[in-house]
Amino acid sequence: MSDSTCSRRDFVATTAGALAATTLVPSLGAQPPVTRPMGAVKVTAVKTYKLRQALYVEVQSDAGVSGWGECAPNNKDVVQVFVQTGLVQHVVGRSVWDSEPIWHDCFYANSDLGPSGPLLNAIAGIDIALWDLKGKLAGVPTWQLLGGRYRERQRVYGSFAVDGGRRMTADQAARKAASFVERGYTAVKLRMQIRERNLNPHPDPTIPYVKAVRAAIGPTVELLVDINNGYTAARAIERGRWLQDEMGVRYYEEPTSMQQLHELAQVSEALDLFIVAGENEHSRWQHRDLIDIAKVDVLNPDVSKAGGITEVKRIAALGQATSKRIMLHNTRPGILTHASLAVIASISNAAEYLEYSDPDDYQSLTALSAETLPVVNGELVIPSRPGLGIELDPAAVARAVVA
Amino acid sequence: MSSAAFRVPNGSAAAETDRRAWLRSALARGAQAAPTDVTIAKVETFRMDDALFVKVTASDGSVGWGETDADNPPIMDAFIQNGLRQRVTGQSIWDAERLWDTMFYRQHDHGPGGALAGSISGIDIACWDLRARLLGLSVSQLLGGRYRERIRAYGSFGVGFGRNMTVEQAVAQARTFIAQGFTAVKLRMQMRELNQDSPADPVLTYARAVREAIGPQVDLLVDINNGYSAARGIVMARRLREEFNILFLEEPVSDQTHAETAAVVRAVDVPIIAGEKEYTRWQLRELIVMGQPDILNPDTIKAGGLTEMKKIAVIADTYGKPIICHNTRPTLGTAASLHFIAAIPNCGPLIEFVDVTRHRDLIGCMRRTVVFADGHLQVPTGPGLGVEVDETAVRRRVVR
Repeated sequence: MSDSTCSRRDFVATTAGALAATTLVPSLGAQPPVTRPMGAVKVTAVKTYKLRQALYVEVQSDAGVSGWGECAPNNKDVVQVFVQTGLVQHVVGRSVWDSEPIWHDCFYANSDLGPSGPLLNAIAGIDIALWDLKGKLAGVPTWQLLGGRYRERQRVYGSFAVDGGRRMTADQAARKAASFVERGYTAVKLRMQIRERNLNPHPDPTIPYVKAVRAAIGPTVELLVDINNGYTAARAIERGRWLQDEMGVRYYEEPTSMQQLHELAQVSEALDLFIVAGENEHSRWQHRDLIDIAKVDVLNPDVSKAGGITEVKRIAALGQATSKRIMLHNTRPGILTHASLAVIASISNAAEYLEYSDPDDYQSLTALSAETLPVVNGELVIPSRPGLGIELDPAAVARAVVA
Repeated sequence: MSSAAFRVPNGSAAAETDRRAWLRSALARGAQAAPTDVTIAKVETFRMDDALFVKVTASDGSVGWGETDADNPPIMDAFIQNGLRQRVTGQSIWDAERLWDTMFYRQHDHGPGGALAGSISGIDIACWDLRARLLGLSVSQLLGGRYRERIRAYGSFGVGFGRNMTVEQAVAQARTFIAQGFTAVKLRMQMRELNQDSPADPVLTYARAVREAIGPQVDLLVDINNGYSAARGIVMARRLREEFNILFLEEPVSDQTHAETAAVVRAVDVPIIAGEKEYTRWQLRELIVMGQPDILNPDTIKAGGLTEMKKIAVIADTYGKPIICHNTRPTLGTAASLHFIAAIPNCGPLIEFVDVTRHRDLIGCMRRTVVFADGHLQVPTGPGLGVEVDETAVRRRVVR
């Protein structure tokens, strides 16, 4: 965009931009800020940071401002290599405003490697960083560029996992759930992590764990239950009725295998519970199948898995066209939570909760930013600072890199 | 804003002090954000015989322009003035999706398509123009970026089932398009449900004459405008393909009967287009799932504006359907459609356009308008929609 009429708001003339060029990215401080229309800013480099509990992505621009993104933490080594060898060449040199065409090129250049999983996790990190960068350049919160704001705060559920009973006892699970409630959370999610490889376990650990957690949190706190793909349809229906009738559960997540959408449809048709699925579906096409074939009630894509903010906004639009709510899967405080909140702010069909993992369990990440969003009365306030509203210390991120 | 949560593991006291100072400055900087508080101050309509323009003025004096469907400007004008304007005035200019929802859900007892969706479109487009101008960006950049800088256009003309244009006039119009540089033309038969399966059907006569006039190299599209049953639609689709090598066939059957559209789609090889009479994400999705057309042609100034068209494009792409914008207005509406087309992956790749010599007075109301060259429309570069309205000229053409 060389058209000088576009430079009504020269980028470096903005307060945020001018300061950012000199202080936001100290490692680039030696480079002079580029004076050009904001619409002409280009990506100069993509850096990845493999941390103990996360994989961060930094997208640098010729305006001296960086955006930060996060890939899902499943196999950080593979995703890091994917970003560095498969995606970077489709990002560097491009306009920061071309986030959709960049997404498109990253995806179609690599989709022979599978149109889900690592490719979409890798794209997610870059896409989130681009949206952070665009907001910082414009000096507005990212949700403002995503179509505006429907809400100023978002209720969360405290989420914890028991690995089919191997990671913690039922008593420990009860104590973990109670600790969320003591800190003001009004909802908790018990992730059973039974998995397909342990299908229909007998005796079923769901029963003692749900009983223990329900007893610990009392009757009024919302209890969501995630089976993590561990049942066949018949068992899922039987257990769902018990959860609803005996344990006051309303949200029932992935009771059957993610490979068996017709089984999930049987469960959806049999039960009055809200059936939740989508953390293992990473594209608009896979979420279309969850809607059309599995007939789920609530979609829970993860912004760091499902191709970033761009793709989750698309999934939200599909949900709007089919009366499905979006309850984002979100397992990390920090960048991912901020990105999730930007999406939630900007969609009409956000469900009543966002997932939130205990930030005390992720201190290696929360130490990297100025503040960790506090949960107040069970809610997070949606940040209104430019970009995703997270102020990472780049030097601290660099120091936290692990081999 | 809590600072107590900031923890530094294994850090020296000095390092922590430096970092805290840096972070404090970063937070203070971020707190003074951009034009987040700009609101919509005024929504004005400019009704002409052949167009309805919408002007949105923001609280900081910034202006954006949009256009609604021109099927019935008085009704759209009244809808905006008496149903929609009050809902958006005073609201944040940035809340594109919430503004859309507010206009739609407050008024959809009047029917969720047609006049309501068209009226919303004008305000929505003007707001996108204004937002992009506030940031010094083009609308397509703000919509997610530009996949392309230009798009091949087809020249479109309607013959009113033979009543508005003789065969000779149709031939002359097609030749005019070729002389202007178009490499594709669309013959709109405008047959309508009212003449369903009429024995006086002139389509073969017109298609033969136009094909002979444009020669074999130019792409020919035919739009029946809903005039057939499925059975006759199948027969005619085959004949038009075999005898005149048409590229696409548009709306062979009624837009009220998606099952008939699906029957034609399954039976014939020529790609079927539909979607100009479907509005909003929900109607386009039903058309896709039930009618299964090969290509969709929603209209930016009819289907709900840029906010809704982006959602329609997502749904279309998810179901593997390209979009060829229906586009009959030569200035603001075309500019909005070009920015939309630039910002979606699943583009036709074609766009409808008109004979600009038939719209000289309206085009005369623009200080700067869209550029057609080498058979292509160029996507304007901005700011905003990248076209400029001459308000004084518009006011001279306003009708009361």
